[in-house]
Amino acid sequence: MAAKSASKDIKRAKTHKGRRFLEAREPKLVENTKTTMFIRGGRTSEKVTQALKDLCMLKKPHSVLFRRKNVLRPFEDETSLEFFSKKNDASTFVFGSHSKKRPHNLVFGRFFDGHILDMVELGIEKFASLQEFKTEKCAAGTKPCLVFVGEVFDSDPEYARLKNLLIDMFRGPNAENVRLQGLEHVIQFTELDGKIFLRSYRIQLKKSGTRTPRVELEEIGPSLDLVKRRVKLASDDLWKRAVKKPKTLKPKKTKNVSHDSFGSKLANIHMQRQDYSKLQTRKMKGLKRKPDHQKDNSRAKKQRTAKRR
Amino acid sequence: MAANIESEEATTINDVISAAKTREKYKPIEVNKQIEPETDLGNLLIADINLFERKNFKKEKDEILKKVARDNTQFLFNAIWKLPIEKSEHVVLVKLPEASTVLPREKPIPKPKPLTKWQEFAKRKGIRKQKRGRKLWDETSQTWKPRWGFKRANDNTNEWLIEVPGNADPYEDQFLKREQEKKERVAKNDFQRLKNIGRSQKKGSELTPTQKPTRNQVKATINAARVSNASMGKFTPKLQNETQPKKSGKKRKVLLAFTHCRRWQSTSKMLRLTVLYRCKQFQLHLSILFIQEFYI
Repeated sequence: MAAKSASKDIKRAKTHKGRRFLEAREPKLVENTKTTMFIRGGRTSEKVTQALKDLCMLKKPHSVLFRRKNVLRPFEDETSLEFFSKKNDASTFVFGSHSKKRPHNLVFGRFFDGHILDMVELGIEKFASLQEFKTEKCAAGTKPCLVFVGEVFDSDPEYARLKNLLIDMFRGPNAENVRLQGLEHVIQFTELDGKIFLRSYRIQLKKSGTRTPRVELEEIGPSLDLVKRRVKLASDDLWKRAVKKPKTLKPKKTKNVSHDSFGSKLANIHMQRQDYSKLQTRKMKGLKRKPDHQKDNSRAKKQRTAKRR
Repeated sequence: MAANIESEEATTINDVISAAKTREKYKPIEVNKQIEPETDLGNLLIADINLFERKNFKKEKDEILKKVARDNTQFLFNAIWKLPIEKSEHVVLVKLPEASTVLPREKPIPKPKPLTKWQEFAKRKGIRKQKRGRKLWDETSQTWKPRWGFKRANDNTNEWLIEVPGNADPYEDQFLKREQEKKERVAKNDFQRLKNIGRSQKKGSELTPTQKPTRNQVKATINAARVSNASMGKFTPKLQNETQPKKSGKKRKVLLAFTHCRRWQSTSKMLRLTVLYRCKQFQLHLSILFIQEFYI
């Protein structure tokens, strides 16, 4: 019976390509970059639509833009969002909508294990799109530098989680080596008096007379002034489960090695007992070891010299 | 000697002057912050909690934000440029340290694939997989042929004649019998495969704490809590309007009564064991009896 019901549940790929496709979506030890879905709500204002498009541009190539309307309410029913997440293998989303009660609304959120982890609703107060800034843009897919300004991002738990969410969304691919000339994009989130200012700049490196260059910035858009609205955070135990690190990825503890506060390495070395017979003492001609046949000769010589005296 | 020292001094002074000149020529790269911003270089991230100039913020919002951004970016870049550099094919690469910000995973940590029944058994018994050659010597054609599959060695399906075993029914079709046996073996293997999959899919108890548990989760937790005491739930007081689950484990009252009787206790060990084996014939559960047996 068990076998019968199991065979029904199991999804098996019929083709090789299909199998590879399913394998790519399985949980991994080292995870891929999170994809973001940009979803249009049932009714959107021009501001919201443009904001979604621009944010999608910033996130490229790890982003999907939904061009059709989707009548959803993320804070009331999560099921369709979760369905989209599964369908697109995307674990973060931005949902845009516009209503009388909540004009120009953006919901930033993310998933864990196919279910909503946390989401934050932000209202757009002011918006300037990418096109409004007539400047040279960054290349798509550059890893941006992220700047958070404001004390609330540390002190307020809701803002702290929002900061974490924004880092997760915009940090780009996990890079070990970075080309120094490729650092050309900054996204800044500033909090002041309950408003969040999102700005994005292109970096220009200038000569400074030293090795480190002088940084100059040029705003490239989009720029958004946002207000926090509703928030849904993950419960502590769910969060704990979500941030759990695999055991195999944790660095192994090395025995007998420690680091002091100056960064130098301290270690205990266990050595075998020293062989004193091989100890090098002061070199003297008389103490020199010689092959046996020579030894006798030298003794004879000494005797001879003694006799002469 | 004296001239030498003079010239050395002169060069150092010249250096200082030239450095000062370059400083004048270029804009500074130093950033002064009251509280040092936190950086996470692995994510190219900087978090600044300093207060910034708020005068005329409404009027010069964009300029002020840009200035703050520039300072912070400069601070971040000063830190990045201190990291070890690698040069490869005219490209300067910097090795970033591991990211320190704790971010949630996208999917749970992959679990190790559950062992099949055979693998479990082999592990317990210490049976190791032996490598077998892919080819076998075929007697009829006197060549090496694959062990299995198309054109395999010692293929018995192509035989045109089969000897009828001595004690077999002479009218039985031996070819058909062989075919059916093969089919049965395949079916058995498939059944075992599915059973293994079924076993691997079985989920454990879902009693992880959740903020908004569903009705069934609450039920499962209550049921687990009820029997989680010293008396295994025997003396647990009943809650109001509580419905107890119908299947709450097997009860072996009959057997216990049976083992407690005086006659049973006075019999010899050998006899008791034979009785126990009789019990097995009547499909009674033995394990509890054995416990009793050692207890007496």
